[in-house]
Amino acid sequence: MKKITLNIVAILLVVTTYANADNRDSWLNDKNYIQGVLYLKGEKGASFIKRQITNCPYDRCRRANTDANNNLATSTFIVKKPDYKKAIKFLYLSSQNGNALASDQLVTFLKGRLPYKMKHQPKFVLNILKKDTGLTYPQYGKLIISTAVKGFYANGCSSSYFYGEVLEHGYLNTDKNISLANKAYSTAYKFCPKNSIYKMLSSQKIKNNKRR
Amino acid sequence: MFLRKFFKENPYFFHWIGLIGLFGSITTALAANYFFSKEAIVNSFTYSFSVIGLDSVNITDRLFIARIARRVTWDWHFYSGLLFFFSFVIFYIQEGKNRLFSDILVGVKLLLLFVIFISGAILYARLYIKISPDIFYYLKIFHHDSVYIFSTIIVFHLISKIQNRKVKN
Repeated sequence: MKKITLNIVAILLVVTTYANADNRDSWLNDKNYIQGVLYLKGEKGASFIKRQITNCPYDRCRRANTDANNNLATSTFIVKKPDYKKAIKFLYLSSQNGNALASDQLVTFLKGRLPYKMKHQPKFVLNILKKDTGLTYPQYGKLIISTAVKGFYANGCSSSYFYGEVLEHGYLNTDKNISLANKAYSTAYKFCPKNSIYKMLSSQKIKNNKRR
Repeated sequence: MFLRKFFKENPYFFHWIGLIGLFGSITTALAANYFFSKEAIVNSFTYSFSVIGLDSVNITDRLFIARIARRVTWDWHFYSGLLFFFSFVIFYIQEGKNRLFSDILVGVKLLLLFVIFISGAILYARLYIKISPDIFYYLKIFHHDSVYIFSTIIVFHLISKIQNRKVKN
């Protein structure tokens, strides 16, 4: 195992699901999972991109400017860009092998890349998705749902909750299935850590769906 | 009495009031769709978030911030649209009810105005009533296309007025 920074260890421990003690150690030690998280957080494989901005006469731009010889009208910044494509590849492999932590990490990451609840996606967001992850919208839908399904069956936390949401509302062109959605919410409620927001949200969802 | 006299002496009063509404609608639409579009704001975060160490904020959250930043623009777009629509309706009514039906161009302009206003009002009304994503999506296209057609008519309107002035002179 290559050197892992303390913050990565903290992340790995914090996202652990609650009642999967038997599998937790094997998940944490899974090589694909570790590689995936390292790439995702930019600890490995990150590229450093030069970005230039004009018309920024403010002090912050001057302080952040990395090119001292540049003319005053333009500021140059160095931006760290993680290799999301490799991160997705490793986390997906790990998820397909039944690693709920990998499923949770990947689902949480992908949720933040696209407003998945919207039926009609803004074009520029789809362009950013394609540029950063190499995924088109249909590929994104297939990937996130297959990961969520794996996470649900492995008793994941955020992936179970997400799967429940998708089934309840029919997001990403999925057929609605309220009974399976409730099962997903129950899994999330049972296996999410006590202080997890998904535990609270899933309990609300279960109560609301009972009233229907 | 005073008002009747005033509007008789100033028959184009509501036309010019409507023009203020039109300029307001155009500037807010240009701002919301180009200079301060969601894309422009989200792209600017690439720089500003890097400088202040907020690179970890994901795209959906950035999109949400951009939407919140623009919401007042849409309020003023709606108010300008209201002013524009009602001013021109009153203006055309004042011009003469018969003209509405005899002059095809006036009828087309009013019809387009009506379509733009109704589609825009429903788009804005989603703050208060639930509208399905599909209806919202197609209403937006409808609203934009009607505006483009109306803009073409406005251009011809301006050209004809300039030419009439030249002929008079």
